Amino acid sequence: MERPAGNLIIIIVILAAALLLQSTLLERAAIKGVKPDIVLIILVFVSLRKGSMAGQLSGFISGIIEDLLSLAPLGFHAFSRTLIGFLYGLFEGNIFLDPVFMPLIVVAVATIIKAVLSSLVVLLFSISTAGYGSWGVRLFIEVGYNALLSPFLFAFLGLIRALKPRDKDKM
Amino acid sequence: MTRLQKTIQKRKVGVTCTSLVLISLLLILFSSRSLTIRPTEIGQSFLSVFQISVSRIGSWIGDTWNSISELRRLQQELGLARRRLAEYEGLSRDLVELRQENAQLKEQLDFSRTLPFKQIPAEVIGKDPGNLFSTIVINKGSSRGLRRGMPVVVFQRGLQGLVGKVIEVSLFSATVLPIFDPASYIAARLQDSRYDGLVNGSRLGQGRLTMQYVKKLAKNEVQYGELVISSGMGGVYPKGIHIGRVREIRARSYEASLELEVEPIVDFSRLEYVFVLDTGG
Repeated sequence: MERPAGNLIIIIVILAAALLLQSTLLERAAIKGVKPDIVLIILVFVSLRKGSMAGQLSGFISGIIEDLLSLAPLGFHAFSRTLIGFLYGLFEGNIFLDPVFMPLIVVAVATIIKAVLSSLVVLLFSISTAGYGSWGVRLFIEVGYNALLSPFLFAFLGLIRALKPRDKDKM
Repeated sequence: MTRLQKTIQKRKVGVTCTSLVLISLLLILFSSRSLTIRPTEIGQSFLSVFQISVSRIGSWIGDTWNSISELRRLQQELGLARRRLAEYEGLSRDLVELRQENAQLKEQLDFSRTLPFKQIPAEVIGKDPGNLFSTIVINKGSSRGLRRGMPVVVFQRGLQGLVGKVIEVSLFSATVLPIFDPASYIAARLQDSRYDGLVNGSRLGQGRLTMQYVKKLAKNEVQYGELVISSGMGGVYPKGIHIGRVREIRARSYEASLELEVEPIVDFSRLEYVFVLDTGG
């Protein structure tokens, strides 16, 4: 039986929990002030498994929640996460996710896309932020950190029933 | 069903994506932080309850884990301490030195008591979830009298250092804009040479501040390591709060003023408890 709304609610709850972790406990795991973006890793996983519709909706809602917790203007994170959810959803079922290398690559690329989109919004709307500064160390750390965490998170998320691929439980 | 409806139905995913992206961009455009009632405050009030809970659960798990490893370490240290005890029994304690240390600690405590403003102590419960923005969330809100614009300070290494100012207040929590954020501006003064300037955050991260508009005349008087304090002008930050120390002096021939690089007094990575000052403004 299809339960797309139920699955979406579970995905949003997982993303919201990840956001709360990111704003509290993960602060302690920051390297040179840069913490991993586990919300992005989950979003990439969800989009690759559930397609564009689920990806963009969960990206938009998690982005809005992040904007509420952040100094960012409302819509800032929603914009980049919606587009990432949509883009990765297009590859649903077309990417073979092995346990290690593919997660590393897709998450590293997603982090770079996020940085490009965020920088674009910062430029277009003249938003005051430290950002990625000189596009050097901070972005490099975040890409590496997210990529390293992705195999573990992907393995964990694979165990969650609501995140199974769509051919078994259509969304 | 009209042609338009059929097209929308056919391209459901694309239409939804475009709509969500447009909503996001419109929200960025219209989300102004100067409005009186804002959705961010309502959202923050709701989310801060979860933030406080997660922060406390995390602290509890961390404390329990630390206690176990602490016990193991203590057991090893006990043996070592017993051996050392015999060694140290022969040494007399230097009472004069201890008294001096005690007096210093008392002085620091009295320093906080002598401040002319009401202080509201608060605990840091969260920070910005992303890496692009830099905010600090504290566990006191409008229910404890916090208002927007209140300065936030901390006592570190015997100095009262400026942390930032309150920019968002919900019922049980408040968001603080730290001084290293590029959106932060503070009217400042060099403590010894008495030159004025404007300190603002740097886009290069939390370890740097920039002091601009310092007169070129100051070039020969400013010392490396000189303290930078708030000047009290502008009315947001009270006078005399330590901001940082001069680390670099830049004098460009084509500019009419000096630019100083300032290292903040406050170590933001070790921020746990802060004081919000009620200046009555």
